[in-house]
Amino acid sequence: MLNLNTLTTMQERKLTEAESLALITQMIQNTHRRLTVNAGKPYLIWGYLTAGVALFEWLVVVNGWSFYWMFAWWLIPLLGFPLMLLTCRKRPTEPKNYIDRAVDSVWLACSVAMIPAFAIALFYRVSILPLVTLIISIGTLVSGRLIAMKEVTWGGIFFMCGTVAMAIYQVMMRHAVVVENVNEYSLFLYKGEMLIFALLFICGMIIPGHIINAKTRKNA
Amino acid sequence: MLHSELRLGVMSILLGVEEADFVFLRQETGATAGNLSVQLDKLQKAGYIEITKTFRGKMPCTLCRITEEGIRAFENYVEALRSYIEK
Repeated sequence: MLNLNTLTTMQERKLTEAESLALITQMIQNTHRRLTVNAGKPYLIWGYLTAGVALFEWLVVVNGWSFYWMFAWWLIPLLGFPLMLLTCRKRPTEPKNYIDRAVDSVWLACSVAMIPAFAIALFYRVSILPLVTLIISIGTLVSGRLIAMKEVTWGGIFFMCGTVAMAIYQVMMRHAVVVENVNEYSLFLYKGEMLIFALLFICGMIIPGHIINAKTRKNA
Repeated sequence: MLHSELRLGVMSILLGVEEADFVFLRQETGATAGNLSVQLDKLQKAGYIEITKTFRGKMPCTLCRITEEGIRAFENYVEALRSYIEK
């Protein structure tokens, strides 16, 4: 029987049937492992960046700093996309597989969906955070299913639950403002919404990202 | 055709990716450039893979992609192996 652990150089030689099956399995696994090393990196980049900015914005609201600090939300796309290009771009010699293409397409669609989400938030005067969470939940859940990593899938489910929690927050906030006319209360809820948003990215992206990286490094 | 170590290794790699370049295949199989080149040529002549010679910047780049015929041949080969081993 061929010992595939010691196999380093393939030659032009005939294999037995069992060796052939072992070789096929080994090569498919090797390629998969090599292509999934650091697969958690995008989740870590977007997770840390979004959670960090959300917590910063929470500090802005809590401390009553200038309104202009709200523009710091734009740091997420402005830093996120260049960071992705710099750190997650594959080496030119590394091949793309069909799953990579599918995952990229899902996140491209999610990124584009942020534009109508922004328009809805602007025109209907609602918080954009639940809309963003909903879009991210779809992207995370579908990606998790495609790459067959249950940590990411659970992250997506967590985001979906978070969307519901944030929608409830929205209702409470509107109720407080419109019916009870308590602005202090609405501000408190707004702060809470940012904390939920940060928490969702910690649990739905940062933790799964670290788990995936640990797993893929261990298997590499 | 597929009952050779290097050719089978190459086909197994190409099955899981859209296309792979020569450098990647050489890294994965550990084969020499000359030997790999000969085996890729045989696979191409059999219609199992498509080879595109292009440039990446100023560097020449050879891209290999498995064909429908190659996928069918691979499936038949695996099926034949299974039935042989199960006997």
